[in-house]
Amino acid sequence: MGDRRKRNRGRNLFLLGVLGPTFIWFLLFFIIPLFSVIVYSFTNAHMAYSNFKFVGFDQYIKAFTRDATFITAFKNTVMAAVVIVIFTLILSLLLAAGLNSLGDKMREIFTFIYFLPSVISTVAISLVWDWLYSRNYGLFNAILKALGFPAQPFLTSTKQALICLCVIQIWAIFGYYAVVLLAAMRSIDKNMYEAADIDGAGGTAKFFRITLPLIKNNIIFVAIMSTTVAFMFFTPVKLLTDGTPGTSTMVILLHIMNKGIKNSDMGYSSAMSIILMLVILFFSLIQWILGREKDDLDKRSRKRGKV
Amino acid sequence: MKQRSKHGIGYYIGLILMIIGSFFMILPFYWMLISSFKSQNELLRMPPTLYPHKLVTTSFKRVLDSIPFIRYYINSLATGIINTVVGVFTSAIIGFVFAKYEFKGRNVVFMIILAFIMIPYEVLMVPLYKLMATLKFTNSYFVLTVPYFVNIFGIFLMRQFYVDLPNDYLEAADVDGCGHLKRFMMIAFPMAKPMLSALFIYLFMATYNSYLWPLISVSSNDLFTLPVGIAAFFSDRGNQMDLIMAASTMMIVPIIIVFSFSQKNFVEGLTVGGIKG
Repeated sequence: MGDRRKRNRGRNLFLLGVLGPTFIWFLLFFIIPLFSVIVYSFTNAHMAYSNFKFVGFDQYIKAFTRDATFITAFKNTVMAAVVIVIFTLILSLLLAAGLNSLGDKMREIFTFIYFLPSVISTVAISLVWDWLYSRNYGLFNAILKALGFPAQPFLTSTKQALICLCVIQIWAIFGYYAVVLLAAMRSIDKNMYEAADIDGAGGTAKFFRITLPLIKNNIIFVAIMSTTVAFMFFTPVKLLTDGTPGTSTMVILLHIMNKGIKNSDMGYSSAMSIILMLVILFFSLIQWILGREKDDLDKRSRKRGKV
Repeated sequence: MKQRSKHGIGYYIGLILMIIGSFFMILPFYWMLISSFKSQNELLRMPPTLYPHKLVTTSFKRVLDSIPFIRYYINSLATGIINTVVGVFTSAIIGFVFAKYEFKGRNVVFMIILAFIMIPYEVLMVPLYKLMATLKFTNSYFVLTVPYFVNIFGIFLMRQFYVDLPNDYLEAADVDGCGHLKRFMMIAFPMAKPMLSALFIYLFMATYNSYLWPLISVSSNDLFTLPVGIAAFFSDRGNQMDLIMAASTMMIVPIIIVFSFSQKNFVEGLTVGGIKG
């Protein structure tokens, strides 16, 4: 009996020793900040003062009615996200299909090359792209000139800057997602393709009829992940343009950091943080539902014997 | 077995496209490397030279003279290693507890922790900064380490591993009268080795390349990590791209070397989940 109790005490001590510090960590670095960001978003809280007033939804209303920069940042972020997600999806799917068709040795070499940006700091990546984009001394303009085209302003143009920044982001992440999709493609049963071969299906037909439907969930995963990354678009923007020229490359996260850290306006930056979080959840949910719905449709139509 | 002769035209089109793509993937790295070895004069030549006609290393020396680059390096490596070692351990032990111990509210707590994955950490940064500032923790090694000590994704991964692990091993240890902590350290922890090495790379890269949080939470030069230090150097001397490229080269070359020697581990570790940030 005494032995059992002693053992139970050891067990409880162990659990307490693990879960206690874990709870404190979560409290400090997750629960309190999460609780704060929600509460602050309804207040006029300021970094330097400890007292604040509740202002209801005023900070949210301000974002959409009284702050032109936020509207611009919102539009820019959504536009950047659409461009980044679509191109990342297409490029990573094509690359994954390409890698999948190669033999082991070649696949390894190409994986190395395309995966390389994923291990490199986004800061270093942004800096070299800044140099490539340089208006007077950049490689891109040298190439354009050599081909007989006029030099482009790239990052200094209100029309081109945001797209140029998106290109950096796409370049940096599509290889990563290609490898994620490649793993899914390689787990497809080879018999499926052999059966299609017997039916005389070509490569394209096999890709659209077999590969794509079977890795659909992985594609949705990549879409959700890249959407989150795209909405958190920050490092290249902060380093290369800091929102300029004008506010043409202002994105939400940069605006949040400017208001919250630089201007110490915690209430407002918290409200924008919540908006950003809701937008991401909304898009993730849509992608998730779109993925689910097709499944259900398939099931329903199968039940009715239509397919 | 695949037969070479079976490759259709599509295979070769794909191959050619991938080779062209590779050129664009390598180009920025190549350009960074050669720019850091060019003389200032040659760097600004238009059209640019495609390789350094005169190889100079002065830009590296000038970087080391202008900023405490070594210090940044040590900061990055030290915080990277500390955060990774602690993070791997906490992921394993917390995951183990959630997998192998019954206690009140276990499933609810675990569901709540999982739900936290949905919340991007960037969204919590301003209030976290405020909290750290109130507690006087900002601008210290504390904010560069402790916030990275627990990783939700790591917990999730390790719990999954231990759920799948048969209880037999652990029960054998019970008979020996092994303590709970000892049982974890001697048996459960070493068993997770393959999982832990992937997690190790994932967590190390997360700290090593971390930019936004160190940027806002640390302001003294002595505490800068490489990304923050080089970014600050860039906003200071953005017009001297030879220095910026030299600093960037010094930052990424070690990682590229390690990556090329253990490509498989890196790919596994980084695609095990999570997002590159």
